[in-house]
Amino acid sequence: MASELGPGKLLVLQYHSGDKYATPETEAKVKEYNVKGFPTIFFNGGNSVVGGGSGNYAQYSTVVNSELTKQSSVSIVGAMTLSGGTLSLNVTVTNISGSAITNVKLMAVLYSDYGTEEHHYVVRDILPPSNIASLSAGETQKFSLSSDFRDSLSSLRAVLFVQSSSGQILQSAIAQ
Amino acid sequence: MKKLILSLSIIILLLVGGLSACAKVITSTPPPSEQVTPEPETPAPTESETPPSTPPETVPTPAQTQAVSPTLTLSEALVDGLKVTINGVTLPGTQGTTIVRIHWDWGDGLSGDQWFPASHNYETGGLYTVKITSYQSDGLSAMESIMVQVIGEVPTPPSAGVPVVLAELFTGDW
Repeated sequence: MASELGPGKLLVLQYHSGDKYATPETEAKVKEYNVKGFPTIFFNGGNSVVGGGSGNYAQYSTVVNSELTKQSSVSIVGAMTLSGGTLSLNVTVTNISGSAITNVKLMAVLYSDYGTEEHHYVVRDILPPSNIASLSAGETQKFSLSSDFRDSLSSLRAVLFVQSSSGQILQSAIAQ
Repeated sequence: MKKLILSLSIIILLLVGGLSACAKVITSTPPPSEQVTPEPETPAPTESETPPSTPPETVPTPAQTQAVSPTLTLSEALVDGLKVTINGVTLPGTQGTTIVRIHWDWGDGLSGDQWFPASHNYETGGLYTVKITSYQSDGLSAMESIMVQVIGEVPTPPSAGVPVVLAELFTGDW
């Protein structure tokens, strides 16, 4: 589905637990989302579906199409650079809605594409969140983030998203 | 008897005269023309043909400088969006030579000459191998390469408010 829709409509992150791809950050994410079984998938921070495989395609598609009809209240523009083994992200978040947005956080998650069918979006690092206490209508805020993660740099990507305090993801974007 | 005495006298005179003539030849110094003309049948060996008892010692003169390639040291690449800037130092290795140019192969099909620091704007993000070659006036050169990761800027969403759905998949080994 990700290749069908493209990164302009659907982004995917794979958080591993209990296997060789798991990291302390992904294990913490499992607890944060209160995941009870694998696989479990969340769309925009909610709409969870437990279970995976091609048999769930229709269910996934319904959720994704529903989410795509919603208006996003923020836009994200980011640039990722690598210098001396440090990965840096410069991110601009703009409130494109007509009202203020409060108490949200900007998240940046790095993933690697290992090339195999089930390992295209394996999360490798989760950067500390950047809290946005308030973002008035039309306001833009800029953030500089960095990670010293060193692995498969040629296939490393960054997904940026703005998430509300309730867990809802308002918008996401990819830097590659 | 007189005949015998006369004959002996003549013989003695001839012998004395012959010995005097021989002594004169032996002690004579040949005229200058004779010093160059009669070459000996076996010419004396020349200096080059005579094997030296020890190897000839080579003494370097100031004019004999050894050709040495230039040195080339690169600094860390600075990446700003799609723009990469690389600084460094290159010095001639051979005395009396100069660095005439620095050639850059940016790894994206584009190349050219630039002095330090050199900058290049890539069209798209990716991992590139930049090859830098420093050329010295005597024709010697030095090459170094550096890998740069350029990550393109995320385009602004095509239209304001269009969401990009994030699917977070949790998987593991439970």
